[in-house]
Amino acid sequence: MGIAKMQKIQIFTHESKVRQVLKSLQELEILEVTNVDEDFFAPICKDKVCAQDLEDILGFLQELFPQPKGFIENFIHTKTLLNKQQLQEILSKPQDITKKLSVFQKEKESYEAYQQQIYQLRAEAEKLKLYRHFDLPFKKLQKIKKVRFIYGLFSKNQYLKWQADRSYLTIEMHEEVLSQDEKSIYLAFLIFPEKEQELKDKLSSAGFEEVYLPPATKSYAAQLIKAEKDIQAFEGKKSKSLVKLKELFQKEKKHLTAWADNLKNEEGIQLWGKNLLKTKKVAMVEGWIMSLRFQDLQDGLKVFSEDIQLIEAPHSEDDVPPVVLENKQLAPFEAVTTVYGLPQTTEFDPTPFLSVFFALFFGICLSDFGYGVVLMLLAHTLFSKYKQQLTAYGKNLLTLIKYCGFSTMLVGILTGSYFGIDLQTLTWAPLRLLLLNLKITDPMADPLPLLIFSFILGITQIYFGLWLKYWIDLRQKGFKEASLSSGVWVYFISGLIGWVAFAKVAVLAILFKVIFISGLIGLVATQGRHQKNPLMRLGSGILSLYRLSNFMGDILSYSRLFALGLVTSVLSVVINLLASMTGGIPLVGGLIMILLLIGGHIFNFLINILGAFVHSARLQYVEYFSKFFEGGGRFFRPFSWRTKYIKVSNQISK
Amino acid sequence: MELGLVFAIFGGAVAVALGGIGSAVGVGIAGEMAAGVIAEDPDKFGKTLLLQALPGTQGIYGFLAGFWVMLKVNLLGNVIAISPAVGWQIFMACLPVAITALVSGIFQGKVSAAGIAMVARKPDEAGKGLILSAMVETYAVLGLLTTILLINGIQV
Repeated sequence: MGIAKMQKIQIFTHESKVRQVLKSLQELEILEVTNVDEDFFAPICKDKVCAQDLEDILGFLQELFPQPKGFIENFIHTKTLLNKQQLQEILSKPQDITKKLSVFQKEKESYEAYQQQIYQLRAEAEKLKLYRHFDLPFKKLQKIKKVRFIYGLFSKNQYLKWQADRSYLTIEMHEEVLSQDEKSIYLAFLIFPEKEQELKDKLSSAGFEEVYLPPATKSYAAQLIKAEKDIQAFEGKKSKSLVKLKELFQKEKKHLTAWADNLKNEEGIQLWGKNLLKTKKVAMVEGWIMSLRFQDLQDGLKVFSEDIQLIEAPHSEDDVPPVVLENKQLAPFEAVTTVYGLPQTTEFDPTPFLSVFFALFFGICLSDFGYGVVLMLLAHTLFSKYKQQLTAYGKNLLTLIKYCGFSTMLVGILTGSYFGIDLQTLTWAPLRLLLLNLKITDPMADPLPLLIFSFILGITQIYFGLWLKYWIDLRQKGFKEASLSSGVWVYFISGLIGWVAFAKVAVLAILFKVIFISGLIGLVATQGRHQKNPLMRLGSGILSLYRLSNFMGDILSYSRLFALGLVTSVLSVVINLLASMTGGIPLVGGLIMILLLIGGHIFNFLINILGAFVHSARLQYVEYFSKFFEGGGRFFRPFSWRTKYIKVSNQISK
Repeated sequence: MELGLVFAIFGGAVAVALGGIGSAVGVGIAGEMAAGVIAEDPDKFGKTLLLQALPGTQGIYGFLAGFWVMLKVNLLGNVIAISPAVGWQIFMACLPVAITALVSGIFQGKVSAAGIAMVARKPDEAGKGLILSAMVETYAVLGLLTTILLINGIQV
């Protein structure tokens, strides 16, 4: 339990074995290598398949065939799942992937070529759609040398204006309307060369849009028909290619992704191997490992025994090791701790000390047997559905949800809350009596007991936190210093709590009163001991008592447990009430009632699990951790196979 | 006696309305930011949605207070006749949640929006954003708590 012991090691290896050693380290996944920057990567492509090629193809394919993602998949990052056997099988055939890649590349090229063709043809067809309005017997027209042709279009409005204006036009010319559609009139003008410019100026000021027709042997309309035919043909080819790509992708996805990840790692190793600290013949790998796994590392590297030297390296004070939390059954609660941050190596892991509190707080906030059951079922279903894709963190989170669900069930039974159903209305007497007997308090009818219980929980947790602080100080500063700083507080608060708790037992009350008052004096005397000036010392001592008001605030903050619990139960009562009111509506009443019940409870459930999680966590972080825990440790990132596309499971396929 | 009921209902209505306004503004602020982040990366929908939902609770607290008033005077069944003084008491009792929910809803929305911006850059730190946002909610919870205890304490 707590923080795993870490140790720094150095591996000296013969230059020729660097890559193999790095590869083994990657497979072992137990050493955090500190002198390799794993994020540093530059593609190496030398006349063979490289990761970049595969990533390009995969990028292309994934854009073409995006995988629809569900809401849940957004949270758990599903990758292609392979087991070790399958992976080895795929990676054992490097020729295969070269072939497969070239098939894909060819198909990609032709697909892109079709796309390009279609794009060009479309642009051409667009132009032809305009030109076809000007289809004239050009061959015959070529013989006309003395006059020029001007082609173009007017919008209908402009044409009307042009017609009205034209009366003033003195230029000799001929105007021919070639065709028209809803918006425009397409025209040709015949004009003598010397007057051409003048007419053009007039036309353009009237809003005429001139069209320059490319020379053509065939009529534009015929060209358009051909272009459209071609487009269709290419579309056909493109969709065939698409189908082929899809088939290929589905068939070879595992190969492509596995190889992409594999090559990326191999290329990384080549690169990192070069950048290691080294002499002419020897390179050094340095890193952190859990002391427990040191033997595993030695065993894992046994094959290189001739070429490597593994030593335990000394490390200085400011060489801070990474942190690994070790909690066997309580590991799920690490999720709560890690959201806040990891402990420093000089601290201890707060996970076991928050576990029970967190689950209990969550239970009180949600406080409904039914919701607890749903939560557990939900976590269970997700767990079994995504078992293999889930990371360790995801698994922990789901187990945490199960614990929280269980605690919610318990609190639900004790507060008599079952989907907000009024237990008095249960018709089956034995069940009604049983549930009513199990209920010890009803926050809706009498809120005070649960409110006071929330405060008691707060006092308990904070008092516990003070003890933890004393314990840490004992370990770090020794008995005298620890007792003078945090010990006095524990003593003083113990007196205060005891005095309040045993107010009615005369002997104990007096005893605790004495402890309280002596503690008070002790605080004033000790808390300013770092000050040199005696007056300042007294002042700081008295000021330190101000912390007591902070404690009061902290304890009041636990009232949220009660309030959030009440929110859940009152809302579910409201939902049931609303639903029952609609039950009387003729015909559709039953349906509306059921919809309201289901929708309402889902809403209440979702909004309250969010609240329960967030507020339970907050109580740990703000009220509890502030008493003893700082945090700020560094995550342990073992050197390992980094994958983008696949996840390798340890299971052996059948 | 009618007048007492008017004050009580006014109190409940104020709690529901102000809580609702606080939440609507808060969720709105966070939602705008969330939409921006999702435009860049649709996969972040889930996480940003959680953060957007957080300032939504103030509206529920206000609604709850309103409902608590209805239960107090049994508005949904045989209405209890109350004196104007008691009506005023219920009205006053509604104020803590009404005001705290209004203000905290808006500010929680701002913190949530900032959290969403954080998720855009560091998606793994969404949990921290949730906690930061929940810090603001504390005061609405305390407001609700006070309102409920006050209404409970009023003799009708």
